[in-house]
Amino acid sequence: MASLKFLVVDDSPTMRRIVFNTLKRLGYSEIEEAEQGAEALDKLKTIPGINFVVTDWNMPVMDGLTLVQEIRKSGDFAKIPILMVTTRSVKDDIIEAMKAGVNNYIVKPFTPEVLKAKIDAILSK
Amino acid sequence: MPEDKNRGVITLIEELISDLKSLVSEIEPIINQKSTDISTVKRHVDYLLKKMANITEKTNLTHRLIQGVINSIHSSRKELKLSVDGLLKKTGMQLQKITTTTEEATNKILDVAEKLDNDQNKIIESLDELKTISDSNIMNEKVEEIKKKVYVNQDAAFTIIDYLQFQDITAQQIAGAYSLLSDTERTLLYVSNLLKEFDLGDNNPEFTLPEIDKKAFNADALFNDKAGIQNLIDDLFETGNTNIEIPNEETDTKLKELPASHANVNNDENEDFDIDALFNSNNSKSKEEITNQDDIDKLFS
Repeated sequence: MASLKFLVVDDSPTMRRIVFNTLKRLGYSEIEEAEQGAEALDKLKTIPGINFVVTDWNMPVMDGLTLVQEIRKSGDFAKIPILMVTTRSVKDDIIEAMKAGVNNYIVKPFTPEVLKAKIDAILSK
Repeated sequence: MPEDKNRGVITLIEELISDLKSLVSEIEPIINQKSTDISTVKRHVDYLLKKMANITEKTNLTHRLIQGVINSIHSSRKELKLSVDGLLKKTGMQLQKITTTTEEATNKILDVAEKLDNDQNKIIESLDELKTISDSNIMNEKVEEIKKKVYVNQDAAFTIIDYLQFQDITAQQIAGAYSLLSDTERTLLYVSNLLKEFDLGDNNPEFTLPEIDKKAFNADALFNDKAGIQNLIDDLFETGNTNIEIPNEETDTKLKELPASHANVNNDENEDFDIDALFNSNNSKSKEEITNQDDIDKLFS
């Protein structure tokens, strides 16, 4: 558990704080944050050791879907686990996210139990 | 007279009135002249005809401009009405959604806060009881009991953090309402542009609309229990079966009234929460489809 280093990507500071607190409560202490996809890509390149991405979908500049596509195209961190946490619950969107390469998908509002279950499910694969 | 096209209808009409007045003032002395010199009369008449031709041309241009505006307004009036009405109605609904979301979330937070307050009082009572206990074993039991209550309160405090996700959701709903208002403004500007020919001269104000990044928000975001929909998404991800039915929260009114289920408060409500009923038979049908499904998710392989 301690070896996980998260990157939480969300344009809402409140949501970042909630995800941050939830991850802390689940026992994870290494958590980086980014406001949108482009900043997240930058952090992935510059901060060593990030090995799990939790991202929102709707964000300015670069949205979560594009971020996922960019990560999957990248050479260095193409295989990093990505969990999408979003308000979008329309089936076509979910399938689009799957195709883009997210490992799992949570619809907001979520509970800590759901977040934990999804992290565990991703790590167990 | 191409330069007249930029002068606006009102300006053109004012010029016409002025031209006609000046024409009348020029005709009057000619008529009053007693001259019988035909060449002088002809010169005057030629001059007046030239001026009148100019006025006719200006009148025709004014007519064309007014006719163009009337035609534009006539052809798009119905469409505009529908468009503005629809946008304003949608904006109203969006604002109503924000009010509802805020109210629901506030009530949930208040429920947890009230429970916390009650539990804190119980903890204080238990601490007071400790003072009267002399037996160390009983005291230890009591301390453990108090610790459990503190842990429960910690959970409750964390539930408030969960509920605060409503802020992100209402922020997206508000962004949606703002976007709709901007669309309404755009439509009204279109109407305004149809009437720009009636503006005076160069006084046309410049309108600039703010750029809205529509990918930055989800106007359809809803603050409700996601357990049912999350289960279906989990099925989708576990099986890769894209035939699984996921109800659209926007169109499925049953989903809009989902009660809370992830707090340890209001458990009575949760007992009434029949997710299968809410989703009709979709859930069970999906599971049947999954067992018969040959297409395993290749997207995740």
